[in-house]
Amino acid sequence: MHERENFSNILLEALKETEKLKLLIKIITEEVISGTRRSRYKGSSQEFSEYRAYYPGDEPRYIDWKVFGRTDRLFVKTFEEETKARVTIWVDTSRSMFLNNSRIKFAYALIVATVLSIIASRIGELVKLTMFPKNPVKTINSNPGEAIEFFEEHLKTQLEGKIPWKQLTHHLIKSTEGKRSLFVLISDFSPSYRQLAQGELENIYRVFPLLRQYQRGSKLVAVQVLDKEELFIPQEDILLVEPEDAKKLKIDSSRITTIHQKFMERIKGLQKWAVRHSSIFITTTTDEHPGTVVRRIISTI
Amino acid sequence: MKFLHPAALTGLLFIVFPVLIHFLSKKKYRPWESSLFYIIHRDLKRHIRLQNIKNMLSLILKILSITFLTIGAASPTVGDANLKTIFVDTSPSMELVKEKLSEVLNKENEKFAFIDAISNQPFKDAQKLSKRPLLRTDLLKIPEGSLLIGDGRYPEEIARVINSKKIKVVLLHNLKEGSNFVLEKVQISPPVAYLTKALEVTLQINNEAIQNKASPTPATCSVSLTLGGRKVLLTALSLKPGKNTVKVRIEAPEKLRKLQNNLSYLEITLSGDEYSYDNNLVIPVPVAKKIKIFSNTPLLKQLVNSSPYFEAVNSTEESDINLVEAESPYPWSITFLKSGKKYHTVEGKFLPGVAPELRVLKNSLKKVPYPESKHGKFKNLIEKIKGKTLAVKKSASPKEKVPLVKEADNFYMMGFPFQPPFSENPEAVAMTHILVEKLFAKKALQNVIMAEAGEELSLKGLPLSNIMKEPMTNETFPILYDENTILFVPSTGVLIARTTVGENVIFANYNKKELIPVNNSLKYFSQKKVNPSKNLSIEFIMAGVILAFLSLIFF
Repeated sequence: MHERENFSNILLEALKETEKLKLLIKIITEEVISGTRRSRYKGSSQEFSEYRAYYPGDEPRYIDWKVFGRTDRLFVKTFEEETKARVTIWVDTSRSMFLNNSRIKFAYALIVATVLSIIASRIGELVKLTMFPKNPVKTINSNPGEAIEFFEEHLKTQLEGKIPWKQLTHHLIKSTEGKRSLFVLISDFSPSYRQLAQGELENIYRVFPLLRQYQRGSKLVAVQVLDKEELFIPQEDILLVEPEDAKKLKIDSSRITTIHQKFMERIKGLQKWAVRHSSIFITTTTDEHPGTVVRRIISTI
Repeated sequence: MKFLHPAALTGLLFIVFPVLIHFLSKKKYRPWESSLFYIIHRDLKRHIRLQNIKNMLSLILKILSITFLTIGAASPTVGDANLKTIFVDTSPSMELVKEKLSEVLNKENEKFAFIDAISNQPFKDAQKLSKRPLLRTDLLKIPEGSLLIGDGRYPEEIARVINSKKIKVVLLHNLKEGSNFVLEKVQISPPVAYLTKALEVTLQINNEAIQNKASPTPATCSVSLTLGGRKVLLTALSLKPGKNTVKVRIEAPEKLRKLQNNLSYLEITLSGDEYSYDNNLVIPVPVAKKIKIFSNTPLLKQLVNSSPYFEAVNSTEESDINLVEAESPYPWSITFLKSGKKYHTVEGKFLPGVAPELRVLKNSLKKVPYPESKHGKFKNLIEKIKGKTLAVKKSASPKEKVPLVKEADNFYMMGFPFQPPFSENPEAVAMTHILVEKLFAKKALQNVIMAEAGEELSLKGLPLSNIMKEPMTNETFPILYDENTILFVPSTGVLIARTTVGENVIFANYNKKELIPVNNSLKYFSQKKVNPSKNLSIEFIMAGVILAFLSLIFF
């Protein structure tokens, strides 16, 4: 029902009262929940699922030697997981999530994370909801209400600092404890001005190949949340401000169109890069209905 | 650089406008946060930097444009002729001077400021001027670009000092009321006094006593001429206001025969004047007791006929023959005269080699194939002559060897002033002819000093190249004040010659091949030292317009 409207307006209205937001989350959750509740996440269960090519590091006991005899190529068996899978949702709390004196970007990201947590826990997944660079962790196990609590608890958390992308990658890998997991990173994937000079952009790009390299069975879904107004800058003379380092840049209105094109090119580039490394990259803006985003996330799993 | 209309420089205040416009017209940018800043900042940073540079260039061009246009409007002028200050004696006697000055100023079309410098004691003031340190100190106080009008007694010093400060000098007489005659110039004709000819003396006298042009009244003065210490003329003159040229005639000065040498002095004195300091002039008068020469060579015949110093005799038998020059085996003799009386005679025959060398000397000087240096042919010839001895028959002793040329006696030769190729230099050729004459007329000439071109010479411890920079006085350069000296200093680019024919010192610019008598040397200095002024208005305005055009087109 809200998809046809600009969700930003609804969210802005709802941000005034937490109860409204909670109600909104429930509505979105109900809208999203549909179809199979069965996890399609590939794990090491006993129910055979499919073959895939052998990579060094795979356990040799899963190699199907019969197939090797027929084809001279090594394949390993994969199985439907019967046990609970590990879903880790990370939400960006850096300063860049607080734009133009509005928390809408962060609220949006948190709603997506909460809805996704609720749905995942309902279908029996083990959900770990966390934030970064602040790092409160909430493990939700079959109790969707805990996700709402987490949401309520951290909705007004102070948005500050920057994401140390290099450490984050290590953290992600470490947090799986060797088990295959689903990571959902909800962020704007934007380094600050100083981080750019320090090579953090490259570290953002490295998240995808590194995760693939060290956690082959895991999957990363990157959800890039952008405020609609930061992507679509108004057609006027703008003093563009980088939120984390407060760096400023004067832009004439005549250059806005070109700049928007550059934004889109870079976002598409990042998306292609993620896909190339077997990850999912979803870009959304705050005017898009969060339910749609969650559906897209689920559909990719 | 000076400005004819400095008030126009207030136009520089207009620079404020482009600066204000530049800052006021800056766009207002609305702050807008975006985490995608990182995507564009590198590209845009370069763009913005370029934009800032362009804006700054535009502003600079506008400022420069206004600056140039304003300076152009103020009529910037470079050069020394932009004279601002004139010191003028404005006493009534200077009416003519002021009139003359107005004419000059109108011609030069310059703006001047007049400063009165009235003096009640011009003579004493003039005496002060002669004290060089004081003069120098005083002149240094005069602002650059001043026009100084003062007494004409010390033109050389004033000219030098003032020209070093780039001050144009016009020297006019500074006199007060009262009868005043100035004996400005004396010329004699012919320039060499002959014992048998009348001497015409041209006096240039300025009557400054009455300067009212509306009612000119002639004044009377008397003039006395003394030649060789004997009063030869006393006459009265009627002088109209201003400049007068008077000719008086001295009949054949036979008594000059009693003079001991060939140089005498003519003293002219005016009387009937309240101020006598400028009423007296003494000029040297060469007395041409022509050297009698017997010659049967065409060259010497031609030389003798065209020279005021020589007189040809037809036979060696005639008395008072000074020089016999003939092809060998003719004998020769030189008779030395003292007070018109023969006191010594040298006779002889040209020894083999000497006569041809003398002839070669004359021919070489005349035809001028010429020497490369002071050690060149000419010098060698002289040396050869010096080394030769002549057979001399004296009344007392039968035979005695006497040098042909005694260095200390008559002249010194220190090289040759002109650079080869000699024959292409008409001035050099002319000079050489004069020299030859002087050499042979050595009784009217004592010393000849010739300096090698480009050679650094010193005279009495003072380098000759500095001769123009230092005040030339009797003490510093006595040799220059010796009327019988010719001095060539080509290394300074200037030829200084003191001749016996009236004018004391001749300044000559060797490069320009011009000779300037000392009385006009001031003009020479002024012309040379004072640069003409040039107005740069158009250049500045054009530059301003171009800059404005550029700022509009490109930015």
